[in-house]
Amino acid sequence: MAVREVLKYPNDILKQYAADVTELTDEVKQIIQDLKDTMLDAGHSTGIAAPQIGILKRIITIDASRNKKCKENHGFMVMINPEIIEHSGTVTSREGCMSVPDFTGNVTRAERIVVSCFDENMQQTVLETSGFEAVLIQHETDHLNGMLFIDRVISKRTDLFKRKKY
Amino acid sequence: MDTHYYALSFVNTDCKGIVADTTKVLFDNGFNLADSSSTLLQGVFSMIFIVTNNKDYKEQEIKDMFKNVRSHMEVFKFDKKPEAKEGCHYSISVYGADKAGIVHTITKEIAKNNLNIIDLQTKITGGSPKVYIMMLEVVSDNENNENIWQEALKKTAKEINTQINMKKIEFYEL
Repeated sequence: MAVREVLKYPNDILKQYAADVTELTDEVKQIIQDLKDTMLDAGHSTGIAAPQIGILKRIITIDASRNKKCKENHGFMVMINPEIIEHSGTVTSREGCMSVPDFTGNVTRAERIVVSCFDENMQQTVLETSGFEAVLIQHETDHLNGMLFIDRVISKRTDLFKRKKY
Repeated sequence: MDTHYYALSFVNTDCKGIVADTTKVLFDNGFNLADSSSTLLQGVFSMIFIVTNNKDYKEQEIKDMFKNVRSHMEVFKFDKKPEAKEGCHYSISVYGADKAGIVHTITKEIAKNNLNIIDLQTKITGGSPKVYIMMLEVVSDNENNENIWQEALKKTAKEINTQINMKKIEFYEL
């Protein structure tokens, strides 16, 4: 088990593009384990992306079931090279992120998405989801492209908030 | 070393350089800008700054620093950072044909139901008849009485012939 430090903005790694994973090496397996351990260690976290622990590879782990209000979800998932291939609808929610701990922000994202990715065994899979889990995947996938939620806030005056608690 | 908090407000008809001139005085006198909100309201530029300084200034001393800045200015000093209230957040929008008393009637009902307003913005359309739009964010201690106060606000909005929408703001920890 290895709980890694979660990088916080303005760390430059968070603004860089992560590279595709081409094979399931021991290093990749270790990254997946570290992501899972780090996510679970942060009691409130529902997802994490490899750049958040300083690794520029396209891997995220999510667990929407950790949000008690998310009734329909796929539980814990490893997503390697995730790509959103379809999306529809919009939903606005107030997001918080471990890498931007002092703020929350109103972000509008797709309400329903279809994602293509590889699982932890490097098997290709396609997943359709909506609601919180869809927002979660879009948020974590953004990290792989050097995007933070503050990049998606439309109005700094009305959509960005100082966090009151964490 | 003690930190002293000051709220500064500036109002002026809009002209270029107001923000630069004002923040230069803050910078030159060692103030840290902790929070701010500035916007153009009907051609009047309004700025509110929450600033900190290790020095314990009197309100008039701060006003004197800005005597060459072309704005109407007020200073409010407080020695302790006020704590933000925690609770459930809701967004509320109210709109209808423009008439006197919309803001007062709605906010009176909000106060009566023990909700705390943390943001309020109003707009008025330029057409005829004019439409008044108010958007608020309120904080409730909990969501137990959600139905009661939402019904009360719906009734109040209907009495003044306005439409009201209320929505709980979901916080997502991602």
